[in-house]
Amino acid sequence: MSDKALDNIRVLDISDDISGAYCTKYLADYGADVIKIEKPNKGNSTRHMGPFFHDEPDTEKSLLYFYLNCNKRSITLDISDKSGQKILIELLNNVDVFVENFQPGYLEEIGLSYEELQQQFPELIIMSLSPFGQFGPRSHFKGNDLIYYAMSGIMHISGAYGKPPLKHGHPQSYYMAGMTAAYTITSALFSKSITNTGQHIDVSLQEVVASHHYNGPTRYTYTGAIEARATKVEGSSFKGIKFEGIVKAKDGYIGASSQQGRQRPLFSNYAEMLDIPELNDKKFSTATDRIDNADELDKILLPKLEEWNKYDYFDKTMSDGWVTGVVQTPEDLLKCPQLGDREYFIEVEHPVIGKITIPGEIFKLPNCPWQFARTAPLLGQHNTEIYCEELNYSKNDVVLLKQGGII
Amino acid sequence: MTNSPFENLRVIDSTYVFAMPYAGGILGDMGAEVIKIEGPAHLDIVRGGQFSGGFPDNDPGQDYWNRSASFNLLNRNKKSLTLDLSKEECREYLKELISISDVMMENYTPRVMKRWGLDYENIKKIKPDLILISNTGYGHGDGPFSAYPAQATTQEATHGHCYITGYNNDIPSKAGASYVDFLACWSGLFAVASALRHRNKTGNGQWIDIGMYQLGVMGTAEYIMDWQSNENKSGRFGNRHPWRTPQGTYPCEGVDQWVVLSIGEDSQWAQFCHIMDKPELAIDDKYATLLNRRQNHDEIDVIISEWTKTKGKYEIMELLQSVNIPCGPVFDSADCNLNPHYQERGFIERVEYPEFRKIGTRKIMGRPWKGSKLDARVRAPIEPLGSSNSLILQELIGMSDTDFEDFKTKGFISEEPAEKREVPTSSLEEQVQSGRLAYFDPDYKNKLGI
Amino acid sequence: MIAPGALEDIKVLDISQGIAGPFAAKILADFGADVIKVEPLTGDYGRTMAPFHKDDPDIEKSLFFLLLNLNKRGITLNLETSTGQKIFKELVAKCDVVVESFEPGYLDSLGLGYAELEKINPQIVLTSITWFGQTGPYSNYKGEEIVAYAMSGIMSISGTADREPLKHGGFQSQYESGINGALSTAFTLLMRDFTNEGQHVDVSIQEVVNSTLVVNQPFYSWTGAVQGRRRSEGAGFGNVMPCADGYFISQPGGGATWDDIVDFYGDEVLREEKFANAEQRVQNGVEFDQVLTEATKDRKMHEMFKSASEDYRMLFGIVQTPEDLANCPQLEARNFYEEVDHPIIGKIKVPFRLFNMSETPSQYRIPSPTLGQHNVEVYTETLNYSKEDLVKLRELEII
Repeated sequence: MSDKALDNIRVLDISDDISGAYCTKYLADYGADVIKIEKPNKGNSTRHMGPFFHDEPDTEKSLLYFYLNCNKRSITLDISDKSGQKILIELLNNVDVFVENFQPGYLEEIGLSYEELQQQFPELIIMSLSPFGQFGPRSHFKGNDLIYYAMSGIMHISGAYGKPPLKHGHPQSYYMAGMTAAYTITSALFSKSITNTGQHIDVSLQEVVASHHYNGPTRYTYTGAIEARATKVEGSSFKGIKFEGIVKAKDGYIGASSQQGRQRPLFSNYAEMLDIPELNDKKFSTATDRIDNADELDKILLPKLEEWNKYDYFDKTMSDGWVTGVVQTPEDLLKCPQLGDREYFIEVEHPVIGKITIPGEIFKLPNCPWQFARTAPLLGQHNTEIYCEELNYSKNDVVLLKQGGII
Repeated sequence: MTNSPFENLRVIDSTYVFAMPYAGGILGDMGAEVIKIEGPAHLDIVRGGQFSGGFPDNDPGQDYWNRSASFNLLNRNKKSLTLDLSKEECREYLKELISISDVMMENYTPRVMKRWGLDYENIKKIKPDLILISNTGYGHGDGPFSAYPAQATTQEATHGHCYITGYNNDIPSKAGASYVDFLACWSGLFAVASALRHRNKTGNGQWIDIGMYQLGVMGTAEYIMDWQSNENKSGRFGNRHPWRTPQGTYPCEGVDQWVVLSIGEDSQWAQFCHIMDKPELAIDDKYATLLNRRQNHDEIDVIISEWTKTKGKYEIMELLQSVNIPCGPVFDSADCNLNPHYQERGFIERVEYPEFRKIGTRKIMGRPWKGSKLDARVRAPIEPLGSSNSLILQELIGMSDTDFEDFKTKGFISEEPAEKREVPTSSLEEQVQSGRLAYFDPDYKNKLGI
Repeated sequence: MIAPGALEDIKVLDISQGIAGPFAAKILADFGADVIKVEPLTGDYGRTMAPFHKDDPDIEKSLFFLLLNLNKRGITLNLETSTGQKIFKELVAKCDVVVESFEPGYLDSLGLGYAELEKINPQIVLTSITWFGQTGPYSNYKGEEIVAYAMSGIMSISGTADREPLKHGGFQSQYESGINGALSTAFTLLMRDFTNEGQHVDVSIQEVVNSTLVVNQPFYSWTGAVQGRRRSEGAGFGNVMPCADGYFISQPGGGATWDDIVDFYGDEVLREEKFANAEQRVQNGVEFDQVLTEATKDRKMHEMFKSASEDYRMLFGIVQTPEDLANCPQLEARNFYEEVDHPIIGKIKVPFRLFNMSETPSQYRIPSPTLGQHNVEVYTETLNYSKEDLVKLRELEII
């Protein structure tokens, strides 16, 4: 009995962006055999994105590429001409899932349309990631994280009152899309186990992000109202009140929110815990009261909060049943006792980078847990292994293909 | 007031055959004064014999030694001095000449210069900043081959080229002619120029020691590496390429007319199939991909030959070049002399000979490179043998009239060979019959415009 | 003790790819120039040339690339972007020579042609090595080794008359052109020392090979005659001949009389009139070949070479294999090989020394660069970019 969730599942990943890589990372981390196809001599574009090990841009030193691609193998292949296309078909012969993010229409242009692929490989699951989907008036548009956020509706309600819309930090959309793609693939695999047929999955990155904006469109269809960014106070956050946003602590930032836990219904208890008697005033007792008197509340509370160390505040309030937050930096995360206890991080060794700590287990599946099998591959590291041992090309063939620019 | 650093240079050219004489000729193109020294009993063999490249209109004339085409090509611009260096008295004058020169070229076997007391250590004493360039088969030093007789033809085998040259899967073969001589010529010119720069900065001369053998070996370097790393014995694959397929030489319309082409990408093959009007071959599995073409190369060669046989070589070149496929005719020397590309680039230069030479106007190759501000050109034909005997020995060095006459009497200097040879006088028709020549063109002067 | 380099005052940008240009730049580096190899992000296409170390096709394991790019530092730069062009010009301002091998017109199209470079640095020498040169009706024709060979005239005299013309093995036209690139650059630098001006050097591979036809070419222009290819048999010493363990080639002359030569082969029939001179030997060629073949069928290559050269002073050659050359004592004596330690390939012996110069010899300093190996060094030290700049430039795929 295997302890791999996706044992015996083979994935061919020709995508060249973060979303495809993140998608197949899920699959690889839980046991699938993922083979990346990268451009000859240059590799995925994520190899050229920072951060880089020691800030030295190098094809083998991108820490982003490294994080996204542990547990996978890498081969190089150029499918723009016949030789490469033939090899791609040979590779597809023996895979369960094919992940791609070409411009919609490209595969058809080179004679490898989905219809043709599905005819040749009826059990194949094809995952196509694209900015706006495979069809529709905008399907040929190019996109990126900023555009997906903008066009999802989320940017509209993010940021501060009076200021332009604000995108989430970090290109979250790619990760959201990757995750979405991963679970739809597993659904398709499950379906295939019953029906014995594959299918073509069409994931639009814009739609993925839009689907996370759950209440905006609903509010509009029910009430005609359009949610805005923060209403009351210039430069403030959610609901226009500072104290429920991110505020300064002594050594960083906290989410001071006094949103009450079930055990402590009264704001007076919060005031008592923080030892700020002025807060025990009638004008602050209800939520609406606090909003109406926000300025005054801020003036009393915020300076007091700045006297607290962030973790002291966080630990105290959370243990007392309040719901608060602490703004953690990457350094904080690496030291986080909760993550540590859950064995979230893992130290691995890479031939060029050396020893490095990376986020490991994404979620716990006790019977088929997250596994680290190998570090991110060097570019084309598995050419010989796959072309010679699995596809039966000779060493000489592989040398010819390299010279011809095909691999 | 000189226009270039070359115009100040005096070069002693005591060399024979191809490599160093060619280098001297090119230094002359750059404006240097190059003095070719030959012993009357040991004239440069290129003056007459199998390397002569023919005489003007196949006529050796009264002074065959001045009329060899190859000799005139290699030794253009030079002053000609005769001096029998095997005689001590003559070498004293050479030493005088060395003391007022910048560069000396020689290609004697290593022991000769030593025996004459003219190895680098001794020359350095005469003129410390002189640049001496020595060219030998295997180079100076005590390697096991260093005293072996050498010549480019036999070296072609020894330096590894014959092993890697030959028809596909066939025996080793020669190709071209005297290859290493040219590698030595050009390496020598690079070395002389670099040595001159160094001399200008430091005042130091030096000794350039060229062994042709290793220059030839360098041309097979990747095979040596392949042997070392992969124990690959390799071999010969004719006109084929390590990976580009198809590549080869194909027969065209006419007698002994050929074209070469070289196709790499699958898409190029597809384009070529359309040009041959055989579009079905573009999608035929046997030929559509590189690896399959490789396996079926013989078959493809037959298909291509059937097509090329129906067309002229220039026509094929134009058809394929128009879709960016590397392709060109096999030029013979007539094609080379007459091709419009060379004419526009001025690669082949006109040389006017004075009336008394009975040579007329001829054409010779210049140099395969240009500099936008380099004044490099054939400045004059080489003068007849010994024309500068008096100029150099008497005017430049100060030899007395008596000594000059004495040298002439003893045959140390001369304007003729010590022993005039029988020069073969077969007609061009006869040479075509005997297979020495492929054909000749009686209208050549008209075509060349000379 | 490190000897001075003849070109130690020279800084070179090598943006060429393949064989000819890189070889020219390597020669400059061997003699002391500071050569920076500038490659696109995908690397010089020469990195995909076989042979590969242990037959493993990887852009850091091409042995051909290794030997052509010793002594150079390596950076990446995308010349097709305007920022890349700007950075290139910053480098040009600090260099003496640029070696390139792009198709004529390409650099102009990027705004990096000689006229532009001259404005930035009037002393710059731009050495362009191309198949057919910068000008003329063929200048934009697509070239390849075999095409340059065919159109140079050399193939018409190579191979045998009964078959198609033959090219040399390997890539001789590009190797020879590399030497010519170095030589024309050296001439130009000598000129530059005098005039303080740079210039554009134009090397044509087709013309380089044609230049070797010093007998063949003037045959036509002086007599109208055209030579063909030799006979496959009975060429009287003109062909390679088989022996017990390989092949040899023999010529009359050298230090040997005809009698000496007959003694060497040991067959008295060779002393007969019918073999007395070159013409006779061709006339009776088939028999001559048979006699030689029989005389040497039990003799070994290396033994014959030693005996013919030392005892008989003959002009004699043997068809040495790559293995023979790798182990050749003469090459060892001349220090032809250098032991190179490459970061990926490891230790390996590389053909290196072309010839000797007593004051300014060629010197091996560093192995060929891995792709972009010296980006940080060159961009932060020669130019003034910060490490952060380099990360951004890489993300934009400019370096």
